[in-house]
Amino acid sequence: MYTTEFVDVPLGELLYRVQTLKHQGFRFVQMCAETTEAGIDLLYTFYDETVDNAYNLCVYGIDEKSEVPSIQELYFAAFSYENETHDLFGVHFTNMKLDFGGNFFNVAEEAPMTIITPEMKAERDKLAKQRAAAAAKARKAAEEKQAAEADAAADAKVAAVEAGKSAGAVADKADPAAAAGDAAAKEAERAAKMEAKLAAMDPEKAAKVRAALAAKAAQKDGE
Amino acid sequence: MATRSVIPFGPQHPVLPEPIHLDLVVEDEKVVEAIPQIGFIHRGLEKLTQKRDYNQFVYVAERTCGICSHGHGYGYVSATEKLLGIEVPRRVVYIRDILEELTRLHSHLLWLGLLADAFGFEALFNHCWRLRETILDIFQRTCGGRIILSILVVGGLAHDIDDADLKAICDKLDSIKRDYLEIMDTMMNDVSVKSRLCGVGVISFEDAMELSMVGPFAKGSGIEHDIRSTGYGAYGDLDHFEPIISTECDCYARCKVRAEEVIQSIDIIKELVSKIPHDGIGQKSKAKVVPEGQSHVLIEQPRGEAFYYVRGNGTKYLDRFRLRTPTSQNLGGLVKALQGVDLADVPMIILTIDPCISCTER
Repeated sequence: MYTTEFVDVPLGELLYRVQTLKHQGFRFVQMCAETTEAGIDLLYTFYDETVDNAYNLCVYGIDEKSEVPSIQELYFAAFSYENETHDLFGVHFTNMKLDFGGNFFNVAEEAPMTIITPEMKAERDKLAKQRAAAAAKARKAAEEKQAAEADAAADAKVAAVEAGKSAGAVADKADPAAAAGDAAAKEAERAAKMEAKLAAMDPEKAAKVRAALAAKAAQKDGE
Repeated sequence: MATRSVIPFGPQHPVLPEPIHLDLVVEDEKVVEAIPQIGFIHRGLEKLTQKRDYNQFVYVAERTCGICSHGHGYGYVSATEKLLGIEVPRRVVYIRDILEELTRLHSHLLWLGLLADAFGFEALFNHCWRLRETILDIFQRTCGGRIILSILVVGGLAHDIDDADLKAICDKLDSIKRDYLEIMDTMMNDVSVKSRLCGVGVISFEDAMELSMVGPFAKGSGIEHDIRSTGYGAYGDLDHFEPIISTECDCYARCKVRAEEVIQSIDIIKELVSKIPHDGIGQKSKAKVVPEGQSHVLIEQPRGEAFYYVRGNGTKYLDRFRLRTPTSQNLGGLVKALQGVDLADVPMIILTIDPCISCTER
């Protein structure tokens, strides 16, 4: 079984690459074009008989103003493909050995293969919407994960402060007034930090955290 | 100095089976230059991929041509299966190749008849077409259709051909072979045939290589290129396969290659039937979309190597389906072969490339 290879080539290098393949003994198989949103793509296929390898050169994004060098001097068999691509896709070739001047395919419409049918357009729009929805979903999931991690970190910090506070209360028994002043200052600082975090958080999540803190405070007051 | 004149030839002409137009520049009955023109029956079949999903498009691909319709369907489904990553059961591959070889038989018999008709050998024409009818009867019995077989689906076959029918095909081919050998003897050795074909429309080996010619047109110039020898499909399971070539480089050589390929195809079918596995016939692909990507396959059609390319875009429609027929590739060779020949030999030379313009224009 033969192998297949696709290689991207800039338009400026096309002729040089085809020349190289010709010197390596490749046989010309075909050339075809395709209409994409970024322009016309060209695909040149060559075949190496010695190792049974089908080698494809892909040239992307040819626009109306681009001029593609003809390969007829190297492979005369390309004349039918180049004239066809000119007539059906409107691609301009330079230095063509056999140029039919747009009369190879007698089609009523100019460059008919560049027109996208409504069916294909609808499918492409549908695909674009599906992709946008999937991307939005992924972004939201990432944000939620980040917020949950921030919550967990905040809770851990609060717990650490609480633990420190109870330890401090034992040590401050000797000077109750100073200890009460320090505790109030720390409490105010902690409340300010928490408020800043809550402001940066998703409102729904922030409301939940606030409710949890309020419940905790109420429980503490009850004790 | 001889006067030059331009003779328009075709697209409607008594000896032309296909609508191709040639501007023949002649000088004293000798053709100096021939400029081909096509485009009279362009149907935009490739563009229909934008209106028919990848499963429906099998039917469009099969209708590209009235002779090698199975081959076009085969090429399309193989390229699409490659893109979808589907591996079909071996029985499917065998049946596809058996039908492809039967197509080669009926295509070559049709061509031999047309050639005989072109040089005025009516009896030979009748006999070739009588045998061709037998092949069409086989198609009708096994697939239901005589020309458009509609047995292919992406992922397998629409229905199986049972072993009894395959055995019947082999029996029928034995009787065809006996009759065909008698016809072949006349075709290859008759004086009137040789006088019209030998030394006419010569294309040297070097020119054939330079022009990237394919199929019997190239094999008649000594080029040993046949994509079946790479072992694609079931051809890799054959005990031995060697392309039939001839080194005379003229119309007779091309006729000889096709005539001998008939015998070779009969032998291939019988060998494939004897080795056919029983591992199912696959099923129609249920994939809702074709993934983004591209793939292509090369298969050996009766007229030579054909190229099928598909490109998916993540929807159920293909972005592009490309069919490059052997005739497209051989047009350059035709232009070369017509240079310097007598005007009376032009129809014969055009016939020896076996042009199929409806495939070429798609």
